[in-house]
Amino acid sequence: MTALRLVLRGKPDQRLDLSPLTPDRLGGLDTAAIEALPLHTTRRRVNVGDIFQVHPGDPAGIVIEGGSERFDRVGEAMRTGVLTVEGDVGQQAGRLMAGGQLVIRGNTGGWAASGLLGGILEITGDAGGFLGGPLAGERTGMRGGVVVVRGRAGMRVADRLRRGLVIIEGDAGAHAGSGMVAGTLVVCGAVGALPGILMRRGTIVVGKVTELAPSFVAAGGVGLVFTGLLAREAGRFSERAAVCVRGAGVRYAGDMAVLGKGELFVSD
Amino acid sequence: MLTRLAGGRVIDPANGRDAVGDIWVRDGRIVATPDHASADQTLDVAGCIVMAGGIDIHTHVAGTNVNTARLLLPDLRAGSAAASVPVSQTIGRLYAAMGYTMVVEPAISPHVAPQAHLELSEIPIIDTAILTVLGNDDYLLRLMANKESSAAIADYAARVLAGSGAIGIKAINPGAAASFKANVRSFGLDDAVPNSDITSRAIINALQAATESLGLPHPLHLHCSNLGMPGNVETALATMEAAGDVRLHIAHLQFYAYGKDGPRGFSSGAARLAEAVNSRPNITADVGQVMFGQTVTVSSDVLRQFNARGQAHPRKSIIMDGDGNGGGIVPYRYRKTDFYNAVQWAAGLELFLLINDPWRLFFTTDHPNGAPFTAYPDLLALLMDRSLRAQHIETLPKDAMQVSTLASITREYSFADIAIMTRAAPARLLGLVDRGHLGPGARADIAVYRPQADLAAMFRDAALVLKDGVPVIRDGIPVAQPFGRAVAVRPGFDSAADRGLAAFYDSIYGVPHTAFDVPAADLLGRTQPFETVPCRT
Amino acid sequence: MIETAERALIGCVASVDGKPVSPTEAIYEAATLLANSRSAVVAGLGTDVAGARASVALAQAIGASIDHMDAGAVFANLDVMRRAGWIVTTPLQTRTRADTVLLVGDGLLEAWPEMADRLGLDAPPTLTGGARRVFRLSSGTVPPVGAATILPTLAALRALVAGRATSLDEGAFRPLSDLATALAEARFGVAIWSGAELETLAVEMLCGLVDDLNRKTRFAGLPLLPPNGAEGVTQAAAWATGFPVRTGFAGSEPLHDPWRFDARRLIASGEADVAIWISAFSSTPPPWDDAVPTIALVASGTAFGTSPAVVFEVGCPGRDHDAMLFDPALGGIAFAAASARRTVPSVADTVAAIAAALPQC
Repeated sequence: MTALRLVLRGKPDQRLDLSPLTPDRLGGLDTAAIEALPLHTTRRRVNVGDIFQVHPGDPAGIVIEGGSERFDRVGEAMRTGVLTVEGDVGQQAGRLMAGGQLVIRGNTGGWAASGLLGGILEITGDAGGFLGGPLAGERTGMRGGVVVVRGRAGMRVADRLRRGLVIIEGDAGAHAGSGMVAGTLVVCGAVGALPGILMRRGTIVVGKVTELAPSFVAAGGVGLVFTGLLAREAGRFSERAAVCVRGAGVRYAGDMAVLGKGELFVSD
Repeated sequence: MLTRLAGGRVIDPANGRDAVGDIWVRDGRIVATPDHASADQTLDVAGCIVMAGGIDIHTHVAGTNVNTARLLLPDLRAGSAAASVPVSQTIGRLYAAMGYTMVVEPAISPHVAPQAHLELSEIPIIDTAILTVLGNDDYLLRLMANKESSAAIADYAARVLAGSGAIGIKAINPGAAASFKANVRSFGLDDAVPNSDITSRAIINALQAATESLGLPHPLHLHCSNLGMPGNVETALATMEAAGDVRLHIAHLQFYAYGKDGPRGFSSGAARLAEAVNSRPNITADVGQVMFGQTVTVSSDVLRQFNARGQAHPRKSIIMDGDGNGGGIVPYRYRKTDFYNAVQWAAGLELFLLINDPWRLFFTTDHPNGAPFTAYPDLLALLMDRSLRAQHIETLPKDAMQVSTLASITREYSFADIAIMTRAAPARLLGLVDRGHLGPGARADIAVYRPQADLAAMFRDAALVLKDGVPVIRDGIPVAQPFGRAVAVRPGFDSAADRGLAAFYDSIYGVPHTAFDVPAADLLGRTQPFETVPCRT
Repeated sequence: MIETAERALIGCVASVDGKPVSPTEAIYEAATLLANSRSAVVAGLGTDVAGARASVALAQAIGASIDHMDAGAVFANLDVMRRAGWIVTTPLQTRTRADTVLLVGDGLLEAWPEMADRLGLDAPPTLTGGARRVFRLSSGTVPPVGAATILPTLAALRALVAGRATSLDEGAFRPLSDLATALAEARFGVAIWSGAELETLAVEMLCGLVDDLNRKTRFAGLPLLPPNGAEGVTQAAAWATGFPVRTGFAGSEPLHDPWRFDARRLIASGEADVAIWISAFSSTPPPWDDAVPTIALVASGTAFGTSPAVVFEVGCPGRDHDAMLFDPALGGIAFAAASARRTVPSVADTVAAIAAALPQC
């Protein structure tokens, strides 16, 4: 059976909350019910039918044709199925996602994969800041799952990462892996200032770094068994990441300001 | 307008009444049954129970500590924080829905009293009051170090009461916060503030003396040392002993009801504590019952909160070394499966059921520290229905129940007991002669409940609540939201107190001693002035 | 009724599109703009507690969002406080007890010009006596490590206090190591910083350092708060809504989102269509000029690029009228009597008048 398709009619006049549009939530709803779902976040009511042309299909696979920077919370808390957006999305894509597959063929705004628990989020373009990061008052960010960004990531990628794998094929902004608790971040390109600042544990692999905090110290050699395992794991999702990890040549321990049990590798 | 509440079962223990009958209201007051007038308005409350509006003597609902807890927990706002630290508007509505018409915020340091009163002024419907915190403040410790007279201490206390707009004096682990600033990490009744010989015991006695000499209606309200520690039943007993035969109110007694028996070295000591309270007529106490769930502990016992940070859930906490006492905000989750939490739950209920005199025992969860006040209806049901208690006990860890006597207690509270404990006794303890009862002259703060099998539901959504004679709640829903009054004492004091304070503040703090005074009610945005409760002298 | 509210606006100086009008006309124009708005912002919020209460209530009534002109500084501190917690103290405790003071950053004097005097930094602690040692960690004194910010220096310092290794060269190591020793020797230490200057990661690093020091000794932070009434507004918003600023009220529950409800972003993106701009302490015009119709409640003498749709002159709290204000010297909200009372409406009165006029529009 073909996937359920939602075709964008035009640019939304307000930010929209697309969290109702997941395979879990749309299962069992007919077209009329789907069209009636509210998406508005201001006092001006907007339903699915106002924004999208609904082409019936199997909600286990949803395709949103046409994206918008004003689409927030795409794929929030999804547990099963495949959700694909042909275009950009806004904030908090894949927030608290627990399973299934979310594919954004475009760019995302900030806090994509915030609090991710499981499943796979793939972003073919660029991701905004705080990928995987917690929202106001939350202690930790991503707690599982895999995120792959084919383009660049903004500042503080994998902020407070608790568990899981984050791969950035391009560059990342300042403070990559800030406050990491555990888990793995691979940035194939260059990172901005002070990656790993405030990290407790976990692993960061970067292609290039220009400013490392003085609380990071050179720490012996690169354990090839470890990098081999990591390269194989990363390679399931990104060949560039596998190459980057296999090329890890220098190892640092940090953040000594906090605990110092994290490690940062720089690839050759 | 003359209003008649017709045909309810009127439970008014202060006036010895428990019978079906009418209550007559005119101009916001209860009046005697008129000989010849007919009611302009009749409210049919047949089949219902009619009590005076409830009075909560210890609930953390306003001030910088509470507001800091709000700011700390945006991540829980949609869940537990909504119940643990509701916004000011909601506090009034939720309390009124349960039939309460007055609450006391028990822990406001004098230097932050203005903000507390601003917050209270936004709580609709119910009347409010604060207790001002003394016992770790620099000036009191200076007076005591200089061996100043008890009259000087009383004058100082009176000045602070006036400036902070309070109804009584609270002491919170006296001496501990000051000592913590000097890196002391534990502090008990007979420990002394560093570089002095001033013990917690001495501070308690000094503040008791001040309270009595000022004729404050409310006794010294004390949060003892060693809160939460295994074996601290000894601290509570020693503190009661230290009080002599002078009035003392012990806050959230449950948190001091722990023995060290049993395989885990932690047990309920509530039975011993209850016996001590029963035999000491000068002692009153509120329970501070623990109920299971996520909450946040908001306390001015900075030392205790600092030491408790490791148990925070979520794992974040705020410690404020304030002027005098400060604040500690530690989110916490009480779990049914946890041995220690189960013992705490049992110990609180034991205190309720083993302390005999409902005139001396008060109904609290130390909101939000033991549980949010929204748990009150469930707690009332537990007190009134032993089979419900038994059902809960079945679900709790057996080893916890084995170190408590709760399972063997069969007592059940009656409606009259509830009316004493939550209405008549609090009014008396605060010196509020026109509240807590339904006799002529009382304020028409009246709660009406519809009896039903589900006791919690009955108490959660009052059928009708009148505040100053105006219906404000129907079936748990607000139908009007007038604002209540702030209530305070204003004992007199010698102007020498002002001079001494002025000199101290100028030289030590570099700010005027009047800087922290709470302004008049209209400058707080209130439509009604402060209501003054007379002192006894 | 509009007329009753207008009576509260004695001395009101108002204009519509740059032309002087009566208070009634201005109120009506403002209320009409708001009543017809799709998504308004109540921004600036440079006001006292009463003004904050009224503004939050208005925002709730019209489903708008609230932001403060110094929100960046507010969240530099608040994000640390609510994610990791912190240990803090008051100005008076600093003055009376701090034997060791660590001044972090270059922006302290700007944030609080009277700080040194108020805290008595050049004198002994007034209660505990003895010596008071003041250390400065800024571009001027202990040289910062790393390029742009103080963050790397704080990271190194924290590592040294914890007894862990760093990659500092000897020249940078020595002064920081000495400082670490001094901090550990404090009996009651206070670290002071300004949220307007330090980025949030630096605040977090510093507060973590303070936390670490509390293992063995007593240390606390003293965050200097942003200007324009920010702390009073933060407190008032929290007790009224449960959240600080950058919260929206369009839904059935308030939505707190510091990225989304940044007023400048909302206006630049076209998501907001009407703005209220409030600046009673300083003559600060809205930063977006005429991108959206703006109702400005501002101190006298405020100069605009383009005339806003509606302008109300408002009094300065604590000078022109009594106010409840956060006072940095007191470390809390307190009553401030008008120092030079004059007849000019307050923010609270003006906002209340606009709110009262809404149903008629």
